[in-house]
Amino acid sequence: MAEVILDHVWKSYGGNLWAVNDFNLTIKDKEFMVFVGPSGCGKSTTLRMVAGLEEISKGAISIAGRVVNNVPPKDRDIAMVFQNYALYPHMTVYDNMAFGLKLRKYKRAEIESRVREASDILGITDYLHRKPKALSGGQRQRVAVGRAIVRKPKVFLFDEPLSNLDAKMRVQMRAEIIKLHARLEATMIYVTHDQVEAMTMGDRIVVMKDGVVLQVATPLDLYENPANLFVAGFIGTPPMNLFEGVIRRAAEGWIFDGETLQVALQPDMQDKLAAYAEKKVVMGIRPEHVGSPVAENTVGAPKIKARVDVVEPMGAETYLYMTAGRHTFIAKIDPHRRCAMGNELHLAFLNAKAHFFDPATTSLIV
Amino acid sequence: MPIISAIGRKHWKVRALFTGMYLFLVIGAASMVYPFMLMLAGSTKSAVDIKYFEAIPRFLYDDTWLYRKHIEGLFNESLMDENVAYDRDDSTFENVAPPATVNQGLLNEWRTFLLATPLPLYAYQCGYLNAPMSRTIPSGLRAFKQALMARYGQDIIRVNRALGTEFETWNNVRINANTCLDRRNNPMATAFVSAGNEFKTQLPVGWRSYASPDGYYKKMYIKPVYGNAIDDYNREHGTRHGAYDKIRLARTWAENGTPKEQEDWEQFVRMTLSLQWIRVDAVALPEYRQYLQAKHDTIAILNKYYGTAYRSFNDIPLITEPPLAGMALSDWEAFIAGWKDPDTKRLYQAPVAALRIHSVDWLFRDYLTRKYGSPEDLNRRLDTRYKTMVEIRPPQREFHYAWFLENRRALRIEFVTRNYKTVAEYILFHGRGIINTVIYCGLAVLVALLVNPLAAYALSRYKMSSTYKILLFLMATMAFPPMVTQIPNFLMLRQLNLLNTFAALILPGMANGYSIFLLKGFFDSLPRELYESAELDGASEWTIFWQLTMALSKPILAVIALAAFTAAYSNFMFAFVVCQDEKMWTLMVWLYQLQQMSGQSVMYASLIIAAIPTFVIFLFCQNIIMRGIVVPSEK
Repeated sequence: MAEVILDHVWKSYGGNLWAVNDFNLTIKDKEFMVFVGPSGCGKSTTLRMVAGLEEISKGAISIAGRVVNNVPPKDRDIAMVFQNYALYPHMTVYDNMAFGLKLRKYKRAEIESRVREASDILGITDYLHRKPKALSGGQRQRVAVGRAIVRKPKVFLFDEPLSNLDAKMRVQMRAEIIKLHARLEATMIYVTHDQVEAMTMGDRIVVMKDGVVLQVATPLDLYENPANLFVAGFIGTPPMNLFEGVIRRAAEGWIFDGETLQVALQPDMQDKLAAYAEKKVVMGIRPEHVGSPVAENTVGAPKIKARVDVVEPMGAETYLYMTAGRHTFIAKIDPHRRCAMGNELHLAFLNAKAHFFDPATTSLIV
Repeated sequence: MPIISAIGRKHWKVRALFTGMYLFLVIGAASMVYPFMLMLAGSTKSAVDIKYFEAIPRFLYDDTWLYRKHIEGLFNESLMDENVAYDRDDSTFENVAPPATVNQGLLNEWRTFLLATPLPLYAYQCGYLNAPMSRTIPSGLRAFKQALMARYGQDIIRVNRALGTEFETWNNVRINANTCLDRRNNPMATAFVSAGNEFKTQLPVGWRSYASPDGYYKKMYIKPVYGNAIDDYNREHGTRHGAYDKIRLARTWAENGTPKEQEDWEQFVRMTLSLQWIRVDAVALPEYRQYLQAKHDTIAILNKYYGTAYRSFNDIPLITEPPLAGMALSDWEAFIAGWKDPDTKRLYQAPVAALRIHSVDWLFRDYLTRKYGSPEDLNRRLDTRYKTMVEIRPPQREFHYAWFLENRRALRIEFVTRNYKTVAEYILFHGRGIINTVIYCGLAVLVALLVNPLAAYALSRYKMSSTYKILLFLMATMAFPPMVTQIPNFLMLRQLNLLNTFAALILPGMANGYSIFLLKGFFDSLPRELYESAELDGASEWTIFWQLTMALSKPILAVIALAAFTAAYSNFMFAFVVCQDEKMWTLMVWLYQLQQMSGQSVMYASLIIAAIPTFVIFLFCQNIIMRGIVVPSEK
């Protein structure tokens, strides 16, 4: 059992600036947990605190039921993979992987079999006697992962391991790490700033900003039910469309009034939004819910009028960058629908999928 | 990625730039090579060619210059000896020229004469025994030392004991090459001189130059008095010699042409010429006995001084072979020069008519006279043009030249290598100096590779708020030149009682601000993740330092090792100040001593030899440095 519990963890580098602000999380055994957020949000710092490379200012971290605040990194039974691989440049791949085991006084045969096993898993058996310099980026990262595997730790920590790889290699390695997780059945904590990586890899995702945890949820949950404006804007490609406006009671019922764009509200949302009558709110809707076949085919979906600025055909769908007065948004439409730059279009708006946020607190209203 | 692409390189402007750059580099390299060549050339010089600065020493391609160097060495760098032996007026060895023609017949006669005639060992001087101007060890002296070593072993004390000398070390062993011509240069009869004379016989015959009273008379007696112009001489003497070349030292007083010449001759023979070349005829015997009686009064006193057992003065025979030492020598000298009895005021001296020159010159003439009878016969057989036998002079110059022609290659090798041999022998005699230097350099490198990285590692890894100040403090030590710290260091080491130990040499230079600065900068550039990774792998601090940091810093460590070695190896002043005991002297101190007592060429040779270890170490370190710094890369 390697449950990792972060209990009210704070981190400060002196002064009142908190790099990590009251971090609370329980990572279950064998879970693949992803920390995601923009640079400087404290995700790496949190990971390094788990690793023992940073001191914990306040709070406690426990791994497998043991509080590790004062346990040195080597005794925490963890392994870490770094963004720049951190391979020992003067050692061969084999020695790189065996280094930790040698220091822990494993028997030669045991080291040999573990390294073989790990290199088989990662497909680097042919390079065992090369130096890191003679390897490509992807191969180096495999070695770095292999170095973590041979130790058979309870918890794997990944600190942006794919950031230095090219796009294609990144996608490939992403899949390999997912498979590895399934195979090793170990707890993994994975830090990335790339929300695609977070979405594709994580069992659960922690979204962080400015040292604060904004939301912890499964990828789909995060996507469908963002807890606040930041998560809504951060997760998803293209990002969620956000419109500023007020809630108003019009002749036909409650509407969102964005002056140049007005949308009727779904009846089930009206109760909660009634409290915001005549107040400013932010409406968010994913591009796939504007003008998409699903939206167009939904009976009663309101139509909005906007001008096409840019057309981006992606193959499976087409992205339209639209302007409606002071609002701009993106719509994902049927690729076969004809449209051209400068056209005025009427697009179906699937208001049932809209989210409303309080601009003051940024949190979700409904 | 090269800055200029493959296609861009084909443009003429870029090509011109490249050509210019390479040209510049070649000129730069040449400007480094040229002084080195001068140095190499300088190390092969002797006094005669030392003033010529050239990349290739001229004696290597010019036989004339090789001849000059040879003649210089042959006469042990004494121009006087050369002029006397050859009867010439060369003002410097630079003017010496090989003989225009060589009469092979006469030369062969001279060779036969030397083989046939028993001559005393002092009759000739050997070349290459002394180099007072070049101040190096010529091959003859080197061979002599080797002969002494072969006989008495490596310990100079045993030589001193056996030969009654007082040489401190093998470096002090010298033979004074003095041609026995002046009366003051009487051959000595010490054990060392005998050993030297005995050794002389083993040196090449072509190195011998025989004493010539004839040349000595002209060069050192007549010319200083009457000037170098023959007209002045003729005026004074009423003679009609065409040149000084025609004048010969007559065998007897009577054979001189004019009274003035007789006067010169008598003065020269009585007062100046070495006794070894003077014989007194039997007519002088009564005078000689009276002289001895007047001087010694009784035969008993004489016997006591002479260690003889004569019954009366009438038993004393006339001296035929001049004595070499003792009362007999001084009595004989006084008899030839003239001795005035203080009581009777009577002058006792050998009658001038009884005096006779008995020199190698005359022995050779006698030999030829015996063989050929008349000058006409001689001229016909040997293709010469002598009017009288007196004109004949031993063909020493031709004799030397013949040897030179046969040994040019060996001479070149000798001149190129002899200063190096001098230095190498000197160093080998002071083996302790080599051991000291090896220990000192080894320890200095070891300590530099331990202390500096440890300090730099601590500064780089544990960033304290005062790290910068500490570094600044370390760097500040570089602001003081070694001359400034020398005396305080010396005083401190004296207080610690560490003078004359390796600790004194090593302790003051153990930590080096520059090295620490350099290493800290390099350690800082190693990625932090490497350390973190090692920490997670369970490496101890020592493992991280040793297996990671040090292993990755090999090139920079090579730089530091090289610097430490060079500093230790070239350390002369400080090493000398703190280790004044000769047993602790390093190579540099010994070489400095050598340079003090040697000529410039030897100094050059010593500098080149001293540079070899540095060069070898540099090659070794350069390999590591050039292999490059393997900093873990991002991609």
